[in-house]
Amino acid sequence: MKKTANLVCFLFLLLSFCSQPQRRPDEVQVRLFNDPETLNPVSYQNSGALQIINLLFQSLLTVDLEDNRLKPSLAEALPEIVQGDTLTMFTYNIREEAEWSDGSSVTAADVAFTLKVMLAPLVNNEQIKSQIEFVRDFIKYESDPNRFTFACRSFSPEMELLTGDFFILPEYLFDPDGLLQAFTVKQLATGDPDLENNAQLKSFADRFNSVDFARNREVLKGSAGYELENWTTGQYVILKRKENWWGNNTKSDTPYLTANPNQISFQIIPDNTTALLALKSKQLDVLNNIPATEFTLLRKDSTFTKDYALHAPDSYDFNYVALNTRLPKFNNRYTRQAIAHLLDVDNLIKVTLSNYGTRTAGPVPPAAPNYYNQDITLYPYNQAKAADLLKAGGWTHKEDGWYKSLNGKNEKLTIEVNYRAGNTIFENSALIFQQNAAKAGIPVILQPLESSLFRQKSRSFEYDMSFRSLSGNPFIFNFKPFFHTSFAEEGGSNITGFGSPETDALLDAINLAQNDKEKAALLKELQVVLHEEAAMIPLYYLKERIAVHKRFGNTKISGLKPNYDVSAFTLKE
Amino acid sequence: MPGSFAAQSILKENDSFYNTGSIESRQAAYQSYLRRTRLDLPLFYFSISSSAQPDTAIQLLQESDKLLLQQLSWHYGNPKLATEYFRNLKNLIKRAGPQAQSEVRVHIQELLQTTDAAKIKKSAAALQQLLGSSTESFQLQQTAEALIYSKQQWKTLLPRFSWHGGRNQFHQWLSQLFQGNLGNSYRDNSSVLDLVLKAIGTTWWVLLLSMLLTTFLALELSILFVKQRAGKWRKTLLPLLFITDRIPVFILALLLLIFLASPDFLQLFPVYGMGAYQPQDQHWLQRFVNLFPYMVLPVVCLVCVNLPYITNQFYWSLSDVSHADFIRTAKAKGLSERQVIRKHMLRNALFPIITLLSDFLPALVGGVVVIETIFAIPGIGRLLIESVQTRDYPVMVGVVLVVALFKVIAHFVSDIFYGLADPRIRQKS
Repeated sequence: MKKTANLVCFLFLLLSFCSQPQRRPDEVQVRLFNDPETLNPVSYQNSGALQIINLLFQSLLTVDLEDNRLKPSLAEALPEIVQGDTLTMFTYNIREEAEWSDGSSVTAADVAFTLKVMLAPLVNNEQIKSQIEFVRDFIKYESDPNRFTFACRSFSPEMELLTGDFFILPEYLFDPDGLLQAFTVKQLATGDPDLENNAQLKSFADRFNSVDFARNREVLKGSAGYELENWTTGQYVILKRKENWWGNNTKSDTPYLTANPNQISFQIIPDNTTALLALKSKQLDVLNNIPATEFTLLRKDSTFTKDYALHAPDSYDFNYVALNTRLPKFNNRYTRQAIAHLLDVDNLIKVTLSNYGTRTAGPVPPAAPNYYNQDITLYPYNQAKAADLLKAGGWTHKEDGWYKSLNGKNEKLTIEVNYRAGNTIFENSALIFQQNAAKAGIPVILQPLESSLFRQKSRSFEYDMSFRSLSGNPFIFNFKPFFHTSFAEEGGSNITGFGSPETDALLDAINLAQNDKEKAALLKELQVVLHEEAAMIPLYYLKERIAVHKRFGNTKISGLKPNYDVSAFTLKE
Repeated sequence: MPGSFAAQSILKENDSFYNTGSIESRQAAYQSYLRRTRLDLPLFYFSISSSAQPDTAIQLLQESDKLLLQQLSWHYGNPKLATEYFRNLKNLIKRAGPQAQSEVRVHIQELLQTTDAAKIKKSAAALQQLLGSSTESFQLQQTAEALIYSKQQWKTLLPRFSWHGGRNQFHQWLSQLFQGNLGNSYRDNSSVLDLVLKAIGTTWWVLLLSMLLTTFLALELSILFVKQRAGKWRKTLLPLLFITDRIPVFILALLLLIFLASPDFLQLFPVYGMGAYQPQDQHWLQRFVNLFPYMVLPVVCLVCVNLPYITNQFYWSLSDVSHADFIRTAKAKGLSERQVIRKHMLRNALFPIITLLSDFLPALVGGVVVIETIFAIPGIGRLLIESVQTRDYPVMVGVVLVVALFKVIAHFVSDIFYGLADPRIRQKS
């Protein structure tokens, strides 16, 4: 018996020694929620893949998470923009130092090739194609192989970002036989249906669509500071730093082009609890999206905070309630305002997010103080006021609820609330609203919907009220897709049905504003209108919840995804 | 299941503050994707639909439009007029434009959602009044009335048979299958067979170990329970097994993790995954030794989940046999209890046990889904779940096919074992 006891003790000791894999201090381990599935820089599927491809390939522009500003990456400077009557010209210069893995320079020809890949028929590029639908032509300059111009149809404010927001592909590696050289960007942009029968295009597409371009480390070599070392599906993706990467020796001051950690390893852990345990066992250096309740507990845990720094930056993710103004019961502003008074937003933030949220008056984030309208008074939770507003909206209170004559029929006010099934934040929010509305005499039915169905219903405007989210950014505010009436037709993105000729003019003016001051004034005006109309009832901007190991400095924590710049991490002394 | 892989990735909602492509260009991209991947072909060699089914509905772009036209045709049994009415409605919407007054918009919205004759009549008339002289509203009202007047709902009940020939998705899939090709994943275009084999490769040891361990423990426990003097063991262990059986898998897995792999309690095992990255190639034995600590918790978890049911079945099948005459004879011969149980009882109780075990392996694949997710092991269960979530149909079909194959093999093997357990079966056949 004593022997067995000794054996068990020995076994436990042995196990606890080999329980955790050895860690190298200069390696950063980051958690991914799911497998990247494909690392093809044109047809990637999820945010994890995007984060990894960003370390392998570069685009013309990048966002420096240090100050959340758009900066030139492969390009030497932000584009020169010349607005014409029908066309807008965006001219870029590629950095002279920029080179591919084999040492050859990145040139305008590579950019042209990238555009061709994105536009060519038969190629697996359907999800990114529409991003550059406005590009009409590509102009090269004989005098300077690094200079080029995009000729774009008309102008909208996001074009500057979009012309610089796709990964530039190495032509020498992706098309060694020069199959696409026979075509011009203009030819492919017109989308001639005959091209689908072209043998050269077919053979290029066959090669490009193959699994090699999704996961082969010999092919997926870009101009950024890392190379793919190993990808074991569903377990980890390992990236290794390039020796003598060009980004470290640029002529101009580019502290945001970085490749500091020797090795970055993305660990795929689908379950949140497991990821947290891995963090606590120091198997992860970075973890974001920590559940709010856990985050509060971690803050109080002194053994944890000794090793990890916790951050909660204001994100640009925004939750709101959409009301379908196309319905007769909601086409009155007072009714909608009444509902806004029944949403106890402060309580929602407290209960569903453990206070990791910031209330907002409109879709412009409070974290962008220049554009955010601070003069708007947020709707307070107020039952009496809601009742008054309902009366003002033409509803009469009877014993079992509110009634109003709509299209000749006396109808009772009931609300069906939709949200994506499985989203616990929205589920709890909807429950709280249901209770508040019940106190006001409005019966509310909750209807969680599977995500495809949810999308379908909102596309066809078949909903009463819906909890939704939007992801924003601090530099581009084009609200036309959400509030302009030209997007309000069936299938359009203006799902609330908000809009009038005046607001349309305002939205157009925001996009055409020449300077920041004018733009800020117009945006503030828009926020006032949106607030009064209450078709989109803004709830709050979320705060991110991130933990990073304290041995790393220069983490560039930001509200923008992916919330940190892993390539910038440096080891503290 | 609503949605498809392409619709999810290409037609995804624009949920950001700037516009990355208009709806039209996305629709066009979606159409070209369908053509490129031949997903626009009919599903099977033939289809039987209602004669009221509109032909054009398939080619129509929007899901909601498709639905409305389909509903209209079915409701009125007249696909031709329904299509015409629908086209006129679309023309009217285009004509009215986005700037239409709110009353017009209300009626348009009504028409886009209803198939009810009274409502259509009312709204069409109202639009005619509101828009006055426009030809679109006149045409709409005309076709609406014609549609309502010619209502032939019985037509919906008449079937229509259409033959599609070899140009269909099933034929393509089947002809590939006969060449040993299960198709390619929608996600990264890799071969489904590779994906499935890789996934099985990762969980293979976990499945096998847990199956062997469960069977062994279940046998030993049930033998222990059958023993006459083991009343005490039975009274304590059986309820314990019942309690374990009542704990949901994910709670059990998390409890194991929290108690045995967290720095707050005992940190004996790694938290997640199937081994850390090793730059150099390893011998399979070396790899197994490396993987072993990672496998302990998943295996323990799977054993705990399956043990109660299987032990219980084994125990009952053994105790049924224990009342048989030949057992009494064996005891009367003076054989020890051990010999009676192992030689006489067990062999005769084997039948239900073999049946149970033959179902075990395929059922395990279902059971590992939760465990693979929690312990972050990329096995066959997670492959199935992920392919369902992303609507990756070829992978989904592939996994189901492979699991079915396992089931067939398991039944075949169990037939052989029946023969081994009872020579009478061999002789009869």
